[in-house]
Amino acid sequence: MQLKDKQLGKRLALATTALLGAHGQAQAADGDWLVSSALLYYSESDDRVEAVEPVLNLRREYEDGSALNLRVVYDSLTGSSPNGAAIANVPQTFTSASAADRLADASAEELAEYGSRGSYTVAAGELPLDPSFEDSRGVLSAGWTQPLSNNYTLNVGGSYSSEGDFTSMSANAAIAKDLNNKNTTLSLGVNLEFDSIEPNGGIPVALSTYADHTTAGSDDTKQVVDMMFGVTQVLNRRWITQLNLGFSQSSGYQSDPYKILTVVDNGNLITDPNNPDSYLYLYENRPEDRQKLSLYWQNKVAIGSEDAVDIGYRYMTDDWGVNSHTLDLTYHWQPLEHFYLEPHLRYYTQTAADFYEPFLNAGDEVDISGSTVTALVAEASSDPRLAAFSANTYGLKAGFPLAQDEEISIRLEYYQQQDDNSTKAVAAGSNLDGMPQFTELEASWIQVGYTFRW
Amino acid sequence: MIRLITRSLLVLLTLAGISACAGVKPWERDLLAKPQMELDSDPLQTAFDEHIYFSKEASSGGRGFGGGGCGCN
Repeated sequence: MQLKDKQLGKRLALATTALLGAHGQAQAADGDWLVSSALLYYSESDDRVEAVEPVLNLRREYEDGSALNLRVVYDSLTGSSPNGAAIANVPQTFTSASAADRLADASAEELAEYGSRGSYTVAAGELPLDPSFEDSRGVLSAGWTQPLSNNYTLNVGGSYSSEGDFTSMSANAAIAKDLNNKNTTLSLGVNLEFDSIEPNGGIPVALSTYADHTTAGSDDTKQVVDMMFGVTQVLNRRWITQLNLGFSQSSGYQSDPYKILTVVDNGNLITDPNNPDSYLYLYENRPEDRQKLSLYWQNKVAIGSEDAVDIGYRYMTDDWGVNSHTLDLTYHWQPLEHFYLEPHLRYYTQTAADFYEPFLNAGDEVDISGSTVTALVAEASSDPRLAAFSANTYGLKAGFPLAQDEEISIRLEYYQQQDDNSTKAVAAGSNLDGMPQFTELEASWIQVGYTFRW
Repeated sequence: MIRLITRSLLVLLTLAGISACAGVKPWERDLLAKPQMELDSDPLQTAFDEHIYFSKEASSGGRGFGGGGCGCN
């Protein structure tokens, strides 16, 4: 019934526009929802993280130029994540606080099936991965675009995201001004984000021992303020360029509560003085404040009548010591009206954060006096995301535009990191001697999408 | 960092300045109006990629507001 009404409505609208002499096709689409849907499957090599992520985006544009945008994302993650400990030439056993906490209330059946996840052993020469990584995330976001007088446009929006141990809320507003016959657009935006984290097993005390798992409360928070200033400029009939300057300030709990660091004595693992069953590992600690500055420059150039080149470059620097360059290149090749191909290349390189350490040395970085273990560094993390590396992405997308605002697409991307860290010295013949200190991540993802008017 | 902000603002202002003499007439927008010429021609794809890179690299944002909404452990 609803469908019939809708079709009748469309016919009436068409008849009305015909009577008024308006352009029927343009008017028929007015008021409809533009539905964009996509499904992503992401997979890392060596049985690491696997994710399935469906997303649905609804957009409705109104006659006065205003628009409503709604988005729902669901994210399901499984697999293993590096726990931060160093690769050694001996087996290492870890008792996962997060898994142990989850298993505390488990039934006998669940224990039989998942009990091994509470404690896991990593073979000699293998990267220590926590196998209990499992999470799902849901995101809801909404945005409203409102044209104002004097060529100003206002955008406001908000987003809510929730996963097992993490909740994030954000609100944003941006104002844009069109100048010079709409050939220039200046924009200024601000985004406020409030995050709260409630890790399984609580918030570990910074740089405290893994086996003790002393906690400092059950949850913590982080706030982020982002500001962005942008200029978009049409240079000629074929070339449009955009330059953004972004500033970000985050403060609060920024550590990863599940990540640890190995403590070694001349490259050899040490038995935890308080827990003879475990080697000595410390929970990581990151600074509470971070300021980031980014410069982004994008160019779109039309080639011939249907092709286009997209070249983007981003420079980012922060006060953690990370500097990065990103170069992104996509070519839109459209040999047919209903078919195009987009080869994609991305190059990324970053320096390590000042406090990135693949492991800590007893003596100058960690003091061990009897059974007392004291970190002599204020901050330390072995998170590979904070290490020095470069990465290449190769992608290919095939698109089938079926009609105006209707398209099917499929895309495949392949990502490979390369280690750029200088090796931290270890004694010859020790447990860490000859072991990789950074593991190069390899991942690929496939995305299918369908966009249509409804 | 202050110097970088100043320099970036200078670049932006210069670009805004030269823009007064650049651009096209409305009837010359035939190519710019094509979907493949939109600055973000596939927002869902952009969001997926930004989320992936945010969870594997230390950088985020630039194009829009970066990262967020993810513990990414």
